[in-house]
Amino acid sequence: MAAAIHIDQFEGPLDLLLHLIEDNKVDILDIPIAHITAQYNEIIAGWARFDMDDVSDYLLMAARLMQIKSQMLLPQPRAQQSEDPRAELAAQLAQYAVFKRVSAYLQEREAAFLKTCAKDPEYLPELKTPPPEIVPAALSRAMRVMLEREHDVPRPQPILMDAYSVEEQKERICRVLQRHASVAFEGLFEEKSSAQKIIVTLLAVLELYKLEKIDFTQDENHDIILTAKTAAGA
Amino acid sequence: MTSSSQQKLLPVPDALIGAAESVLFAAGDPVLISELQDGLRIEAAQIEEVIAALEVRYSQKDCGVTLIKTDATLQLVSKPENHDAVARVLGIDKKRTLSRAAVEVLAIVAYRQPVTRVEIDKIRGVRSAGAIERLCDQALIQTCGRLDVPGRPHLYETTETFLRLAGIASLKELPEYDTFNEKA
Repeated sequence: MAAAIHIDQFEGPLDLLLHLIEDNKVDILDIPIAHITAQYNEIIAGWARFDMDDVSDYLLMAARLMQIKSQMLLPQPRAQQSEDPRAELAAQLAQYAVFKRVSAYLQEREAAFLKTCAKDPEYLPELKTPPPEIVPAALSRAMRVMLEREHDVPRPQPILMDAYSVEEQKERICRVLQRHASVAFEGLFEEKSSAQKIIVTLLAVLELYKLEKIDFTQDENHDIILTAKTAAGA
Repeated sequence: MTSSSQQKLLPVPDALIGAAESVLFAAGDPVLISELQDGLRIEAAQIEEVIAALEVRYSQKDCGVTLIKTDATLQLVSKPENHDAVARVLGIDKKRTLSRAAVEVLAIVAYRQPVTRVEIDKIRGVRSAGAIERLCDQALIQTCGRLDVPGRPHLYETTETFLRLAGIASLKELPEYDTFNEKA
């Protein structure tokens, strides 16, 4: 081989074989397999440093060539008119050669195609589909449904300032328990307390319990009795 | 509407030919012949007349545009012979987009479609997944169902874009496979 043959020159082992066949001016149907295999192996030996991914197909073909070569060396039984061990490879090479010619033809066509220029469209292709047709009656019906639905939505309520705070109530309960040993939960409220006051007071009671400042008991009337826990803690 | 109109072709009004040309100019992209026909509110026979009239006009030497026509689409483009002038003035430099691997795969799909990746690999003697993916991205080939064998591999076929690249109206216009078969 005169010049080093680079792997990038070929599209695969078939391409390389076709090159060798052309180079040696031999017939695809009558490949001097020993000669071609030797040349083939010599070339790919120089590619050992390349990525295995790129070379593996070539190595596979090398093994196949070697197998064909060995098959041709073995004496064939007379009676068995076995076919030429090269036949399958020859057919594959011939087919690949045809597609190489098709490729050349397509490349010519591509070159011609690239010489034509089309202008950019005046429209946005994705907007080309017209919007769906809207029937006015359907639109008004949809509007009515929306308006009706609006009635069901609770109106925003004005936010009231907190009249009572948990902190305040905690202090109040502590004060009450300083004066009295115990107090009924109900006793913390006037005759008519607002729901807000009851809730805030309950939260205060729960918080004091968590802080271990008060304790609960229940009397025979099932009333909840609060007692100060300071003595126990001490 | 009636089939009698097919036999007696009415001459197509010049205005229609002009309208078709305007649509093709504005579109730039390939236009579906069926959409053009609908838009111009004419019949199939008439749209053929319109296309024929445009082709006659564009064949004139002093006309700088031409049609890329497939069975389904029409596209108005500059003439290839004027490419140098267009490139010089507008600085257009279109590079080849197809690698050798891609063009080989395209050749195989064109003549063997619908075809699986395994068949393509076998013909080329190398793995072709990368080239197939790139051709799909370029819309030159597309999947067209799966082969009913274990693994259910994708089948590939060429596209409308391929027809325009190959400069043919339909796959029937591809040169016979055997024309590439003769011994060099």
